[in-house]
Amino acid sequence: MTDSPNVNVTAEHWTENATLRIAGVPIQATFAEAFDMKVTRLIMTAADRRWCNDAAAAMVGFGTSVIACGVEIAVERELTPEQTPDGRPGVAILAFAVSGKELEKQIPRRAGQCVLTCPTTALYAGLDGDRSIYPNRVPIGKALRYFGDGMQISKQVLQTNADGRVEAIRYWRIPVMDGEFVCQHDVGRTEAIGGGNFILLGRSMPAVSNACRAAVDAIRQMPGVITPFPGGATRSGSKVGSKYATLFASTNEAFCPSLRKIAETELPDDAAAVLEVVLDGMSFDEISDAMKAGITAACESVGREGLVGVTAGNYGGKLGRHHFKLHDIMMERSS
Amino acid sequence: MKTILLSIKDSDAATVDASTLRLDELAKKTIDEIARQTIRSADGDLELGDVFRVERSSNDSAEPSLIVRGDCRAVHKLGHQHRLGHIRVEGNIGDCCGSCMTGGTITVNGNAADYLAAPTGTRNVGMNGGLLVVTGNVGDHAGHRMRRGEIRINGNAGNSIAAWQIAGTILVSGTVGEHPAYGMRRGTLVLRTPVQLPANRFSVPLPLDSPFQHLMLNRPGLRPNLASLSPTNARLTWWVSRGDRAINGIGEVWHVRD
Repeated sequence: MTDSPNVNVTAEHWTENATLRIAGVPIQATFAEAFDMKVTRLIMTAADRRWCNDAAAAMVGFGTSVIACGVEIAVERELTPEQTPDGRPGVAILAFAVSGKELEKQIPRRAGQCVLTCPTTALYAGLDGDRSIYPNRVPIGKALRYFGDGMQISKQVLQTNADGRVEAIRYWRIPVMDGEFVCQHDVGRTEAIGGGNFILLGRSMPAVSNACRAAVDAIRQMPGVITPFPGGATRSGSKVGSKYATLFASTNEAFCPSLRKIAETELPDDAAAVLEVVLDGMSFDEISDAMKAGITAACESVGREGLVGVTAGNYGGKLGRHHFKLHDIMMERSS
Repeated sequence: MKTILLSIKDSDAATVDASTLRLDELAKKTIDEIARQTIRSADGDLELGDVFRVERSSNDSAEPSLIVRGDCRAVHKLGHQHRLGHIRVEGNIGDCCGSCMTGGTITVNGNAADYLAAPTGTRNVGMNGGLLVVTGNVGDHAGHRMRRGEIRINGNAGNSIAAWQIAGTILVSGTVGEHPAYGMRRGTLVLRTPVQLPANRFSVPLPLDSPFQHLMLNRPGLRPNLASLSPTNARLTWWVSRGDRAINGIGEVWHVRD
């Protein structure tokens, strides 16, 4: 609890005087603050969709936030057999970490415990390019091959690129009880952005849930972006720091409806429930496009009757160098 | 980058050892310097211009190219220690083509004689990288002591293909002669036609069902007859034998049954 007074002045609140509205829903003139991260993309396949989804669920489990999970990881999109290297159903997975070293630690662990163990699966690099394009690599088969106990097979498959250049891709074939586990030697990693977000201020929990689901469904169609939290959204939006010295993040009381009367709040009186959609993306543009699609879908799904407004989380611009200005995104970017 | 064109003047000329021709070095030379390049022959040292008509042009590729035209059955060791760029032979080629190559590509649009990509002299490692494609037939001992890279043979192969293979991949669309994969330690020999391997050296064939088949055989660069090996082709049943067990090898021979 805090001794700060309630400073919400309803008459002058931004929701009343917003210059930008989507489907009647006010959009605050603020920005989402995001940070540099490292990313890699993995392609996972299996003999059928069910095994593939089972392995994917395990692989991306406990991957919501780098605060405690090590990586933020989620399925980017499902892939048809025509879109995968081995002609079987698959998924593309994006994994983000605060450092390359952390990514190099987390991916082999997850691949070893969640993919290698799942029947019929195989794992490939989702970022096309050898060391000349992605000099920093995340090990996959390089780390898992030892499970083969000397009976693993390394194969270099030569692929002729569009420019006529022959590229060698190294795979490992590890004998397992259903045949062999095939995986690529390693995968490139590159720079990315994590922490893009927007906050939906709902008039009720059902209304903000519907808006949130519409937003996440729209974002799911966008390439290069994931929403790693359960269902794509989080209710536990956090601020930096805590009264407890051991915590470096704690609840953001300014967006907690139950604390509206006893703590400094950012919420208008009509806001009864608040959900935050958090996005990680491979580039600024891809996150911006996804934010626009998500906000538009959320507003159009429930309108002014369901949402009091849309805002975004930031730390005053002091922590992250990527600022996603909601008004710029919604007005300037093409659909 | 440069394209060097060599057209053989007399296909009945004396045997030529082309191991001194290195594409990456030729690409740095003028046309006169290339023509004066020394090559060995059964008749003593010759200049390249004595055997070939030499031309040069430019292309858009980032890597140099060498095109050899004519019936070069008497030209041996072409592509010796080749490591960069593309060599294309428009016709037949002699022994030891691509010997000890470590990179780049060699394409023979014709037949190749014996010891394709095999080691020469006292070397104990043959092909050590790159891609070698022969659209026709090859002689004996192709891929001898191969360690890395890939050989694609669209025709038939002679005796002792993949003998003492250490690693790498050899694909053959046609038939193979006797003693395939003799002394094989590791690596993969993919055969389009059924083969009877000696039971004391290779394991009993087992059905092969791996996603790696698709990766290996569904590449766009493979010729249609190799592409027909696709695991999606339901008419084909794949089998794999492991060996050569006589030397504790764990190489694999893939073969199909229609």
